[in-house]
Amino acid sequence: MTIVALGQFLRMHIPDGFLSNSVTIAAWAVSAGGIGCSLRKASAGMRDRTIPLMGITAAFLFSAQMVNFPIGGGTSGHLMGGALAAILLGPFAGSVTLACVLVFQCLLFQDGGLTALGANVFNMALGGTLGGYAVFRAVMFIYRGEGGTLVAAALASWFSVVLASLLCALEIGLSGVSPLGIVVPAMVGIHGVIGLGEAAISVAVLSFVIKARPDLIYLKPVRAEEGGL
Amino acid sequence: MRRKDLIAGIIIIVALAALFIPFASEAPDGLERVAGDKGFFPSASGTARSPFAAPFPDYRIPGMGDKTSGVVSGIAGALAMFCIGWGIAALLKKMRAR
Repeated sequence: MTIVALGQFLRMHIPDGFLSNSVTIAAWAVSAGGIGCSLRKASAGMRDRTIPLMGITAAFLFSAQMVNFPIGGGTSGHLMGGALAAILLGPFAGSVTLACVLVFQCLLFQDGGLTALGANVFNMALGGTLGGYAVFRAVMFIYRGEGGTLVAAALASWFSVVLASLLCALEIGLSGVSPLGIVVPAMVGIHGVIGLGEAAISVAVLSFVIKARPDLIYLKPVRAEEGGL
Repeated sequence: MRRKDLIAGIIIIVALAALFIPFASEAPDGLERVAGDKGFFPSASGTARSPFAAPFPDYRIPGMGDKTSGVVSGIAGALAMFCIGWGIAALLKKMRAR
């Protein structure tokens, strides 16, 4: 009964009414600053070929996020796509892209509350995306080549979802809605499973892109290959 | 990106949306599940609610069935996101030029 009632309330991202006022305001402030920085950095690094690819990536993330896949136990998950976007577009253009998708979903489809938008952007477009990209780069540093790209993408995608869920759980805990000791392990545990789906989808998309247009993947390590970094 | 690749990309996204959205799981997602299991719910006393209602809550379009709504929202939304993503990227590039 309660679950049914809840289902009408929210769909995927944090809805209105979950976070306290102070957490809401803090998340909005950090997100606004973070997306401002991302916009500046994305602008500085924008290449001609990234422009249409950002449109394609935004379109894919939007529709793919609507496809919930079952993870067992009567629970589902769906692609977040932050790590995937960062690998295709670069970390900052990736975070801007996911933020655009979240704003669009919130304003038109009430997917994620308007007051919770700051937190959703912070968790997924900033934390998940940039954190996931950091993992991608770290793994690529050790293991290069196409195989390395896919392994790195899998680990980065899994990590991005788990990190976003941890941030979300911390916000819920700090809001006093549920004790941290309960909400953190529950959220991280369930998203550790959802992250496997995220990794599978990201790897499938990337291996398709590598086959079709390998030049499209954003690989800054060009400098590393020259011996620099 | 060549024009051919762009069109192929859009066709693939539209086809995937039409194919997969009708079969999307309706089970609660991770956050809903945890909220249900641990007994916390959106409270009216928490933050203020949105000052306006979204036109298509839960991807439902008035006068359409749930599945059709989902597919139409998924495709129309993806096309809109394509234009928005492209537009913002082009704007960012232009800003750098100045």
